[in-house]
Amino acid sequence: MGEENKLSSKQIKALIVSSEIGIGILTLPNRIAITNENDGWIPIILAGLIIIPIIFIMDRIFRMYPDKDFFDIGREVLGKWIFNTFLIFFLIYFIILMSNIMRNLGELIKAFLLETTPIEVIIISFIFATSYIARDNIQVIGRAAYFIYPLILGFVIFLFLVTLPEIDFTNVLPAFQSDFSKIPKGMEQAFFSYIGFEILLFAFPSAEKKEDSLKTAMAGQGIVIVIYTIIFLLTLAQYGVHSLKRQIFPTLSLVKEVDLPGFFVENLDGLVMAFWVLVIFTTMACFYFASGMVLANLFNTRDHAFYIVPIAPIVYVVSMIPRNVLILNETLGKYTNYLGFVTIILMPIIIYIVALFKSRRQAK
Amino acid sequence: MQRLVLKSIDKNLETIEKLFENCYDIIIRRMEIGELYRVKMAIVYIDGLVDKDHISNFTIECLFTEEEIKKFTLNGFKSSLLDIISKEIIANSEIKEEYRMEKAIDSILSGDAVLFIDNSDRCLIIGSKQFPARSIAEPVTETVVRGPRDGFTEVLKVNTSLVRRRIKDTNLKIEIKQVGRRSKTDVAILYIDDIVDKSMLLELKERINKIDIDAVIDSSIFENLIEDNYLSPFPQIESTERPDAVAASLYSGRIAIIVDNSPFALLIPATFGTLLQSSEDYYKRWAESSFVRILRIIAVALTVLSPGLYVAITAYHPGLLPTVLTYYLAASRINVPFPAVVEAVLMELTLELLRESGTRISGPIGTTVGIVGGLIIGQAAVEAGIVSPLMIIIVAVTTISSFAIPSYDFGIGFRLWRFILIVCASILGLYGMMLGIIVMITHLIKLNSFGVPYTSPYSGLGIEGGALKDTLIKAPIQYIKSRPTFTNPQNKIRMRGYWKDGRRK
Repeated sequence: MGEENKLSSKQIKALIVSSEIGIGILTLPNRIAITNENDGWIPIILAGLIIIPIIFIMDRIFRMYPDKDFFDIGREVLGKWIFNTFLIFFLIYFIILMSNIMRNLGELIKAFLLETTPIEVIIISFIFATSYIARDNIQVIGRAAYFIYPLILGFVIFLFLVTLPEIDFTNVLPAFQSDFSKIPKGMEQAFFSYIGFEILLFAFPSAEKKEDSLKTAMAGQGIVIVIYTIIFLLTLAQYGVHSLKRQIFPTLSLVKEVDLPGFFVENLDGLVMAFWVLVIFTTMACFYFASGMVLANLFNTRDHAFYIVPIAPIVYVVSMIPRNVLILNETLGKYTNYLGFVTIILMPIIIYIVALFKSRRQAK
Repeated sequence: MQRLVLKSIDKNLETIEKLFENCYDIIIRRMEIGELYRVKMAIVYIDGLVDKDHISNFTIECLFTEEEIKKFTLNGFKSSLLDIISKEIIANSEIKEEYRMEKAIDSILSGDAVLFIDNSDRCLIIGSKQFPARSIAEPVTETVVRGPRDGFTEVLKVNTSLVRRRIKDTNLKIEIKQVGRRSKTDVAILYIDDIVDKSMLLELKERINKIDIDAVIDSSIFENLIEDNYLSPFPQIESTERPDAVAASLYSGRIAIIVDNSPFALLIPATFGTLLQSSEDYYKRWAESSFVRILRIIAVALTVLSPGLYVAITAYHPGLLPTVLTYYLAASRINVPFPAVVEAVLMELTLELLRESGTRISGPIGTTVGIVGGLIIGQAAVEAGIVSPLMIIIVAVTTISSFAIPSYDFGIGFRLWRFILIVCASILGLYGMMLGIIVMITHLIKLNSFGVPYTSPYSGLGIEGGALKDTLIKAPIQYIKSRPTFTNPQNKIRMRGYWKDGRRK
């Protein structure tokens, strides 16, 4: 019965994989190809590696204060007011992030599955379908993540196998020819796809084996880096850099090229899009749950389920602000990146440094 | 109010007569025994629940023929008459003294005979239960090709003995609790003491103690009363008619509950993994069982998805199919006057109707229902152009695969979700179906069965312990050396070795 309230190591790995992989993977090769051309895999790997120290820091924080959750630690280390300011940033970040995901999903569904359905219906129905799981605790989300996790891996392996015969790997070359000064810009682009690891702030305290959780979280991050690199190289090899720059959804287009002999589905992209809804569901569930938790802690209540439904209309309204897909990345995408940088990179570092100072002072 | 057995037999019998007023099946046999000093005695029992031969041969006859009683006034007593009767005279094997009237009446109601003796403030309960019962037969719902053929009956004692025969271990505990104010149904809790998770056992007992209901007719009612989420369409407790399945579950650390008057034993906890297992999996060779297990998961997918997919694809995404198939689909639906949703709901409902009428009526009428259903509705509906032939195939596949799920209740849960998915697909196409699936998955994941996640092992619990070896597939028994981890057993090792272990050095 005790295991009910714990996240197993495998669930943490699944949680990090399925919360990071979501909408980003569908557009990532295109965005990276525009900035870094053939060498896109360098910023993808670098951006992924930058996350690892952050995960390490998060784990350290929770080891310094065992048996406490993220909010207790933040309040104790930074003081109530500073931490609450951070939480407000956190909340805005989550809402903008969710709106970004929702709008992207809406546009995708409209492009690939339901041409005539109004985007509002798509977004609202998805938010409500997700709110059911967001009302529950992190263990349930961990279970859901584990449920979806093999599907993600299976999809990547499947894609790899079926595209392999027709791929021209000479397209990947020449390597190391692009402008290296553009790598930070590419990393910024790739960073959006890695957003999601902040779920660890909620997952680490309820880990079953605390000593293993850092290792498994890093393994999860490693899997994500490998998946992104594989997808980038596959799309690059399939299309070549010039064509890739013009494919908005290269991962889905890649699926479109697949022609399985004897298979009774011809256009796999629609089916994959539908399937990808499941993957986006786990991403969305993590953020939705997290924003509910942040709100509950801002108002000092224990139960976050109450705040889930009021968040829904806010997300919907924000997601409808950009007029079209083109300015979606310019507005929501950019804010997500900046806010994400402040909250999920800067905040853990600050908490960690302050906590270190405090513990030093106590030692003296 | 606690009533005691009084010294005066007349008052005791008066109480009983009053309580059993207008009960024609109560029998009170009055006797007067002794030659000089006649002592009044009475045997009370319910006709039909008691072995009458047993009572008259070993109780009444003994009382009448025993010399010592007849002249006891001459010799005087050392001990009380009741002691003499119970220790020296009556030849019955099961005897209990009782001083509380309520307990005595409970015993009468459950089929024992009670002997009242004048001038004694206790009575004797004589175990003599015998009632009409079905003999042990092959289970109707869970037949096997290979494996034991005995199934549970309606009698609790028989059922527990069937399990006991398979577990010859003093650690097998059988605790009895009574549930139901009026029905006073016996409920047996079976577990193996040094394997079971004690906290789960405590939780179960607490839930049983909280029940306050007038009657428990069948184990399914009991199941609903102790379930975690009674609103869910999915059963969180497994039920089985097979004693071998119960024994195997007990060995893996689960708890079994057998309710009197019900041939279905309950097993807790139940998970997605266990509900897709059948006891025959363990009697067949591993390759076949593994294949069947994977087939069952496909069956679950087909049951839930296929009608919804048909609706979504024909109504929203015909472009997903190859061009030839799309043309064929369009051509086959050209005469159908309804949209795909109506067609699907119509056919699925007809089939559910057929199934329902087929299960309630058996024998010759049942066959007629089958013929009418199969021929007239299938063939004629297509020829009349109400549904397309492809729809008939889809409906047939759905139904067949729903019966491939070993747990009938579990299959029903999915059959109901199928309708929700049809509606979702008709509103938002494939996307709507995915939303429906998301809600279904969320619901399944949220469910717990006595603290065990319902979706385990697929949602992560016990994967490290190799749970997939006995759920997704069924590995050879040599590879399943430990008990499943979802039950959190105290004793984890199931198998220590076999002949090859010793030789591999």
